[in-house]
Amino acid sequence: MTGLLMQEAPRLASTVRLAAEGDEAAFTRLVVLHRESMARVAFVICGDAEATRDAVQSAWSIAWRRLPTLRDPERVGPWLLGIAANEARHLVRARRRRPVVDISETIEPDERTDPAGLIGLVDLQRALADLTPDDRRLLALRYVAGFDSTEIARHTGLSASGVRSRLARLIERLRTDIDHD
Amino acid sequence: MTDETMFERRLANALGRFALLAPPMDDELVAVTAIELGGRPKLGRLGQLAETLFAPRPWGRGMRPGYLLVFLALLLAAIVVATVGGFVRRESPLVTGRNGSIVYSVGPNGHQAVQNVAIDADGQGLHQVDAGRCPVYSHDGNALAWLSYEDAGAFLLVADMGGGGPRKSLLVESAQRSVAFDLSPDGSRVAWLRPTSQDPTATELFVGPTDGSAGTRIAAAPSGPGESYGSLSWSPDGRSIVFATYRRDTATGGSRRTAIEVVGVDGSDRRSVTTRPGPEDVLSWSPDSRSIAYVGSSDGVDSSTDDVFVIGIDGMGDHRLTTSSSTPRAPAWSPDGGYLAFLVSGDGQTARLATLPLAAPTSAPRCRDPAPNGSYGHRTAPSCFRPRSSRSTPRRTEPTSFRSTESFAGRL
Repeated sequence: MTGLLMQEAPRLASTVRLAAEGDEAAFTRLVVLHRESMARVAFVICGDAEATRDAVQSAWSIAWRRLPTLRDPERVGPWLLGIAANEARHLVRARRRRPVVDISETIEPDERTDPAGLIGLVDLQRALADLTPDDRRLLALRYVAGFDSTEIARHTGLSASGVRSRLARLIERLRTDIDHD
Repeated sequence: MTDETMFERRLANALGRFALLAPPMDDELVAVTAIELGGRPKLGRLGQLAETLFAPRPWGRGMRPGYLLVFLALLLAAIVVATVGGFVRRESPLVTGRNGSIVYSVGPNGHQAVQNVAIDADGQGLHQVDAGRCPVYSHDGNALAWLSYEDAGAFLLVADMGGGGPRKSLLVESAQRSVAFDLSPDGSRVAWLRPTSQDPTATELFVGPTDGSAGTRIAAAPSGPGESYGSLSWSPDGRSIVFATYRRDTATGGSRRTAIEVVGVDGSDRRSVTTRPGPEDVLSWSPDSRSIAYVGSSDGVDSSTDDVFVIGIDGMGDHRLTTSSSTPRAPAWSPDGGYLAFLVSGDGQTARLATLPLAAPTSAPRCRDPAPNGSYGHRTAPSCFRPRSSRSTPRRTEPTSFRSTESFAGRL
């Protein structure tokens, strides 16, 4: 497995370099590789499909323009996720006055409740709707993108310790909101 | 495992499941749209650098580096412009001395605002200098001083040739009386008449620096009843000060007479220059410090027949320069000693500025005066001196009215 990853890394870096030089096919390969993960991060922040699509599309437009400035091609994944998270945040802030879309219709009935002690997605969606876009970005980067506090700090402009303390407060708030409902 | 840790795991699991609800997208379409909308900088590395500098920060907050650089560049440019501009184009100096300019003040009657103006000796180039009274050039032309009467007293303002704001110092604590003063040749010191603490109507002659430091008394107040000092003038060589002394006429007992006295700037060698009775006031040194021009009474009694006189500092060679029926005032000597400028008042209300070539003392002075209807023109004799040139009408100049109350204390 490790050997496979070591073989994949040079290929990814080569793809990024080609895309940075204007190779549209290489750029399309990057989209295929990372679009889904970017959409997941953006969806947690946006909360609805339409805004997520817009955010992801905008993130890829930015990525295409700024790819030549990417210093470490092997870190293109976190770089793209950071762009997607920030674009989603911008989009939500710009559309702040729009009503939050109810996702309950899109959730399978067996996922609406939490028979196994898991958090119900409807409860989660409602709790997320009460958070600010900044807070949802933190959650998305931490638990969907899998960033540590240092990586989150790099993409949010916060300090690593600030990220940790904000996340701790956020988790406590969500625990109160979700578990006490 | 704590409750917090347990909840964090549950939260991560729920967020992961929630994220799976993200909508699907056509990757090909996303890529094509991104390429179409995103564009690329067209200036190669320079464009990429600009893209990096001016693109929004990834987290969307804070000043973009490019804007910060532009701001710093503009700030630096402003500093450079201010610094270099300060060297290249210095502040317009107030002083135009040593080029024949005449400075005088124009204003209404009473203690209302008065404006200092300067004009070229040929009657051209009239321009505003500053608000104030009794403007005086230093003999070297590098400083211009004037008075400002304010609630706190009479202040001296001295502007240097190099520009910048004028220096201000208090001469007399009371603004109730006019203050006679003159600058030293280099403009660094001032001589003025200061009321005594015992008798505000009596004055003493003081000399001090123009920076506001305390001065030194070089002539005590006159001891006789009703005696006082009048105008004063600092010699161009810086050694002496000439001033007028009003005295009782001991011969008649009633009328006053005026003597011109000279004293060293250190208070030594005080002596009288004139002995002839009658008003002798408003003094002006010749540039070589050997003669004094003054306005004196032709007959020794009636001031309505005043004329301009010149006398040697040793009291010799006293002679009259004007023989006009007009009343001359405030003589000022040109830097080369070739001209005298003074005011003439022939009709009681309107003063005219006149110049008189000293090489030919009998020639009539050239003058400026306002026409009765307010437009500017030349008034023919006998209300004004005829022009020195053969032209019957001088050049038309700016419409400026010289009121009878204006002062003229400058030097040519």
